[in-house]
Amino acid sequence: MRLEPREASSLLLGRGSFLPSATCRAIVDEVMARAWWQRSEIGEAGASSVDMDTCNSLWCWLEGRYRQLVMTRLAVLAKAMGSLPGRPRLEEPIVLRYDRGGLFRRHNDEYERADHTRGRRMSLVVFLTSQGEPGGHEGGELCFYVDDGRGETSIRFPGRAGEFVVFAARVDHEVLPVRRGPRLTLVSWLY
Amino acid sequence: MTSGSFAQGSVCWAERVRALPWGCLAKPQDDGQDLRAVQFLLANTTSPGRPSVHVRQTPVGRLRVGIVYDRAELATAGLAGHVDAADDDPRIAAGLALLRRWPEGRAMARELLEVLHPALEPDLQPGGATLAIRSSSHSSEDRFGSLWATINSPIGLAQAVVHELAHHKLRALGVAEERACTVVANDATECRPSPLVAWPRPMTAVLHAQYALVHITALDVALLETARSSAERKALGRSFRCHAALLREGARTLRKYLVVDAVGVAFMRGLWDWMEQTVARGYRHAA
Repeated sequence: MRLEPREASSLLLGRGSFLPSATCRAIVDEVMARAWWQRSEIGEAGASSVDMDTCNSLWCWLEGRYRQLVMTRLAVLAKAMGSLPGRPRLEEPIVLRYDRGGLFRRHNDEYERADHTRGRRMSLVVFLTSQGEPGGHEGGELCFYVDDGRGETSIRFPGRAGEFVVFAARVDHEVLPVRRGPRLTLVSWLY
Repeated sequence: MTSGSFAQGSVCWAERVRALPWGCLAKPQDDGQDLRAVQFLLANTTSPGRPSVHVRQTPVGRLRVGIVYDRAELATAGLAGHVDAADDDPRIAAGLALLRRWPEGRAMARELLEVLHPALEPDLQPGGATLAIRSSSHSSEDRFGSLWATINSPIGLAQAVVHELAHHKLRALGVAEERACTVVANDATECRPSPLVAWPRPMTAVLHAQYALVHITALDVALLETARSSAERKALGRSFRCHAALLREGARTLRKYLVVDAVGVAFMRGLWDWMEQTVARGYRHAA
């Protein structure tokens, strides 16, 4: 796992390699063969709902042999990112799946009311599929909206299997429409 | 697919439904906790297809045999051309007796089955191949605990009973053939191949077909394991292999297209474990 210099905006906190691409492929094969997928909801916990015009994706838990590997690497990453002292606190990672037409319109990951999300500081996205490669996805760029002092700038990450990006949970971002899927990512949040 | 919800749809009620042991509800449990959950839901919830809570009309364990379904409904279900059977036809007792060889299946029948509408398929000659396993059956959401089934073949009748009770159980858990208020979250208009019919069906119906098939296959395996003769073993082996092949087809569709809710994850894990164990057991005996 290697952290590269921070992006121009201090809100995009790090990117680098999280998993070998072969491991990503194995995780993709595993979840596509064995996972039970749920439809993503938006809004505060307890008042969340499905709104496929805003967020059209599925999610599943990461289980079995790959969960432990991911948790170990997440703890290392959390420490490297300056997680609060003590045992790094992070949310159970989930796998997000965007099929053709999938998207998540501009939003941020900060929530106020739900206990389990209060205090989120950083969001982590690990790409499990690559854009534009055989077996990968088309479209589905992860797009950030940041203010660099001269106005709002958008920064797009097409995504490559194994690559991660960490960003402040308050940063506006979106997943642009997927033209060919599935686009799979692993996501978690650090505190 | 959330067209409708459990009618007592308060947050408190939703929490009670979510708190059921969903991981144990798919497979018939030897301690009966799945049946208790079904009875709890029947006594406390309604659905668009079952507008009143269900009150059992006969004592548990007592089966009434008689006419329930009219010809028009059966014809709509593609079951025209059968004749009603006598309620004391000995093949009824013979078919029900077979359930003793699958104790969890028998418990399900004891607790959930209330009325059997027996029928005969006229084309099947009486006294012909007695081990020709064949059945047709039907049930509907608004008549919980009742089923229509042909009785020509005792094994076929036993299969029909667990088949239709599986449908009843799944409906009571909130999944009807055309809609669901729990477990299944696919859009009702999304139709995919079903293992039981030749045309695409909503994912709720695909799950119904798979769920019924797992019950039939579990009965096949239990009967195989206790087969009384080589002829019976041979016939049950054929039946098992046929059902296992259909399960494979259904499993592919469900894995690829099914979208679930939170309790659906637990329910499907339980169903999958049971299905895989059942099929593995069956192949050990049907080789």
